[in-house]
Amino acid sequence: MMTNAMALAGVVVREMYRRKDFYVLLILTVIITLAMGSVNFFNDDKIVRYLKELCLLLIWISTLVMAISMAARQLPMERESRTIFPLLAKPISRGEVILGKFLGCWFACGLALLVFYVFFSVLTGVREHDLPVLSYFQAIWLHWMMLGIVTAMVILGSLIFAAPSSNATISFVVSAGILLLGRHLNKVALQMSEPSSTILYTIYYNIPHLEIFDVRDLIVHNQPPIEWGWWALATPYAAVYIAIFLFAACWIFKRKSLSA
Amino acid sequence: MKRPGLIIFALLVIAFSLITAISPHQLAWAEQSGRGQSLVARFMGDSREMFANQIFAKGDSYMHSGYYPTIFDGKKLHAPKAGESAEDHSAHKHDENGRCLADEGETDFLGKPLDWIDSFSRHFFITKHTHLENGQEREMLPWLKLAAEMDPSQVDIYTVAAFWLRTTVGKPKEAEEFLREGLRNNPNHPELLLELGKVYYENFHDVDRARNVWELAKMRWYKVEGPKEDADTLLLEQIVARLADMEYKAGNYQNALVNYKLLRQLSPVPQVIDEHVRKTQEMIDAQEKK
Repeated sequence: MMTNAMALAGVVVREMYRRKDFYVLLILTVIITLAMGSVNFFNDDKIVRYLKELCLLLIWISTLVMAISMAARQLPMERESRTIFPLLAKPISRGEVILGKFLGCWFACGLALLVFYVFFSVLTGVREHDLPVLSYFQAIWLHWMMLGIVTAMVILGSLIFAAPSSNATISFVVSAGILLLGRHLNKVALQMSEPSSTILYTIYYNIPHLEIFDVRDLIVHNQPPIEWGWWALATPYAAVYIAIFLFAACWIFKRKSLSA
Repeated sequence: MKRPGLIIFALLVIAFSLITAISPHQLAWAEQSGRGQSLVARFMGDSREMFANQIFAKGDSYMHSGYYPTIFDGKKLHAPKAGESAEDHSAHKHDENGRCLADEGETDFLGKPLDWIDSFSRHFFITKHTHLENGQEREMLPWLKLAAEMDPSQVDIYTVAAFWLRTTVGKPKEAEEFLREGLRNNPNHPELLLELGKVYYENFHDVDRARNVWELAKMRWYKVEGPKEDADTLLLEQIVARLADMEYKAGNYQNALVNYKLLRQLSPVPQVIDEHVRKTQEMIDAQEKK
């Protein structure tokens, strides 16, 4: 099963570096960061945290856009160009197609993340003369796990929503909403009356808490690395949601008519 | 010349003619709508004032190393005037790790975790209250600069930035420039003048300029704040206290006495000022005997 899925993933990864999205986002991130880095604040060249914050924000936006747009077009593109039929004619199951597409998008995001974080490390190394390798490793890993959940969610969305554009928009709104508000839903629910409180609590307990994986503040404010035990626990937390989304996607894909 | 070439040439002539006709009007419009304004002001207009408080709060969150409540927490970390917070912060007690020990109950806005997700997620964001120190306060300065761009009428932004610039960051020249920028936007504001006097007196040791600036601050206070029902008497107290101490140290005991007597009326603890009045009077008596 994994051989077929990995072969398909390889095709998706190659697609990423043929397309221009990644390069455009990377160049934009580099240009904006360097332009902001050249701004003079009170003739003090030791000021660096605002730059780290801006650069990490751009990296997060860029990778989120990349992951969502890439995952949203995988299955619809195969259907539109009718390449899904010769693909499924080969000894490959629909589940393997879903897994292969997911792994391809996820690995591609991982590669892009590496490039982005290398730029970030160089930037902070030059400005701050310090490179907290362990903290950066934890941040990249958690970021990648978060992108795994988003990618799986978008692949499921591509089987539910009619067009890739609507899937991408809804996925982006949902992801941004969770990142901004997910942590606070329980506090809001406490102040609400029934049945709104129960509904909000149900949402709170069921959504994937993407904000857990967002450790930008720890990096920006030079905090020590997260305790390894807690950091490691975030991986199975992400794996559970990835599995839920992929199983749901497989279930729908197996019952979906491809000719329509 | 072929037809398409002629059309392009004609369009260019029309465009050039139009720009010569529009340009004078455009210049007049630019003058009316505030020429010399910053790029931010031109793009955002009055809406930028809405963002100024948010950006100022961002600077404050940097001061607390990212440990800062959101609107959902329903609590504030500190709620003093921004101008006071800078000096208040430096007066807070900290443990050896820089962790804030002041008002431990007040600063713990997170409370106990509400559920397992809340408990788990707390390992992934900042939950310890520490302050920037040893010159690292510079990290909040970009946000203060941006906040001042957004709302130049907020004098607190200038005084807070100037305080850190002239103290731990060690850039009094930049503090003076920033305060002067504040004074251009808020002419003769007593709070800005007080802070500017501190730069001259404490950093440049220029007694004469400090005296002039503080005297102007006092005068402006009576003109701006004096008529108000809720006048900021703490500000006047600070100005007069600075003036009195400076005059005493400079040996101008008569001026010092005048200011100490005024300070006695303003101070919540006049007994403390009585001691200064007595000492100054003794110095005047000693001078007269000589």
